[in-house]
Amino acid sequence: MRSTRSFLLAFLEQAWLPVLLVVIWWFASEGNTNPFFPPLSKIWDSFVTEMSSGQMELHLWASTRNILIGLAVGVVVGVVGGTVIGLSRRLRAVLNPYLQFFRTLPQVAIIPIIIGAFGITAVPKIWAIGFACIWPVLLNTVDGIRAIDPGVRDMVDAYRITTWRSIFRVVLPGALPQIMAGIRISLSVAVVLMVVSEIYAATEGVGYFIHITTGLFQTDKTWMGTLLVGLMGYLLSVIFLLIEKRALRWYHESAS
Amino acid sequence: MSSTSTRVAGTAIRTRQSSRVRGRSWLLVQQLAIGLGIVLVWWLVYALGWLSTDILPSPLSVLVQFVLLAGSGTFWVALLQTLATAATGLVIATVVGVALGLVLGLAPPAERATRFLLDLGRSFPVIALLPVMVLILGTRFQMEATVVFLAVFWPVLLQTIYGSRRIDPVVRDTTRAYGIRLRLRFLKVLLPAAAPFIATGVRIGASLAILVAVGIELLVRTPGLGFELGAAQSELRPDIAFAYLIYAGLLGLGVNALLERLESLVLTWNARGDVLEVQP
Repeated sequence: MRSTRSFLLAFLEQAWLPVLLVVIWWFASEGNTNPFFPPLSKIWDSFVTEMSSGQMELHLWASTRNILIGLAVGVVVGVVGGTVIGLSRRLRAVLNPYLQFFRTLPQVAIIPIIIGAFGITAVPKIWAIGFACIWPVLLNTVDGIRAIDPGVRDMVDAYRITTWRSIFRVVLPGALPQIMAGIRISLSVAVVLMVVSEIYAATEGVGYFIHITTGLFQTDKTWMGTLLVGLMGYLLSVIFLLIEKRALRWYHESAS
Repeated sequence: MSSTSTRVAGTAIRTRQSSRVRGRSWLLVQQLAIGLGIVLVWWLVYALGWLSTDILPSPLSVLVQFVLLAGSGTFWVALLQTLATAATGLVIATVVGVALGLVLGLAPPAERATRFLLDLGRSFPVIALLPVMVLILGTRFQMEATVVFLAVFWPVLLQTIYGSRRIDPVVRDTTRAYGIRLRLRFLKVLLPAAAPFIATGVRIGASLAILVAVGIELLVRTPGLGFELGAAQSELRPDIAFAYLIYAGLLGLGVNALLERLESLVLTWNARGDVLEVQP
């Protein structure tokens, strides 16, 4: 009973301000004739119409698909590359300047080059997202492996645990918290690249929807698409946090 | 006797130093070899015609454009325009983000009330607001700086909140027990404790600011590096586009290195392990 009440209290403490802001927005914008700030009720109406026509679902699906496939490519390449580089002190030192270059490269700059070269379909966008997602994962994997306690490494050597076994049982689990932090950065990079690539040149996706409705001056739909992209970014990060929590349960348990 | 041992020790130090110098130049040779290897593979792909020349320019033509750009006014103006947009957004975001972050860090009820908004804001791809902002503000410098500000604000704010919460409870109780005034507590206790976290936030923010500035220039064709890159690509000059891409990467690298240097100069009390580390 008490836990229910404290849960409710915590919920209220966190919920009052967002709810208040939405309510204020709803009533303050009601009857507004400024075309740039359509009433929230009108934005909601356009959401309902677009969803029921089934068009919006297709856009949402296209964007989510590009993000997830691109992210998956980036994570696989990043973890494999990061493990190879992280295990070798020499390789790390030699490749460092190139890795730093790709890490600090403003990733949106590759979009015109990739889309210009390979066209405006989904595959080049996935390439661009995947390429951008590699670097945070790769550098975090390298750091995570480097931060493993040297004592653990000595133990692995002393017991003559084979390289493959130690990679899957020792190195990767040991670096997992840091790898997860890298994937989290990559996820937000992926969402940004999805939006930019779809506004730049596309035939589908939420970014494309925002872009064409701006051109048609349907501001309620533009606002709706923008809010939807924000919600999408939020939901993806919430889902990722749940996965992360589950994957790192052993880590948090041992820390406490 | 003692002079002999000193001499021996001196030789040992000298040998170690020279071997370290040799190790470093050997590393440099290896790094250059990797770079040459990348260019060689690139050239092979180009020379064997695996990709059309509209897609992949030859490394030599990119090098030529890279050098030519350094001598062209267009490039430097574009670079300055991108930097001005990014810096304006970053500075405003730092001022607002740090002020708000310290307040939220000190007032837990306010932090709880804004938690959802913060989570929403940090995961919101702010660049998606671009079309709306163009409608409201037009394709002006103010619009660009505002979008950069909105994007950079979140990492600075969140890092500041973390930093101000990281303060040692003993220190907090001590300052309270001694009745230290708010102003002094703020300047001498809270700010120094949170500063390393704020610095990280600003560094993340700087990379993000350049990324968003380039993104805006690319999408709404406001002047800057992103615009030049997009224009070169659509004029089927991938050699110029690649040269701009390399400059964009160098810009990110330079700004990051500059901020790291500044950080280690300003935050002398904060022993950050990874700054002092010397590479083998």
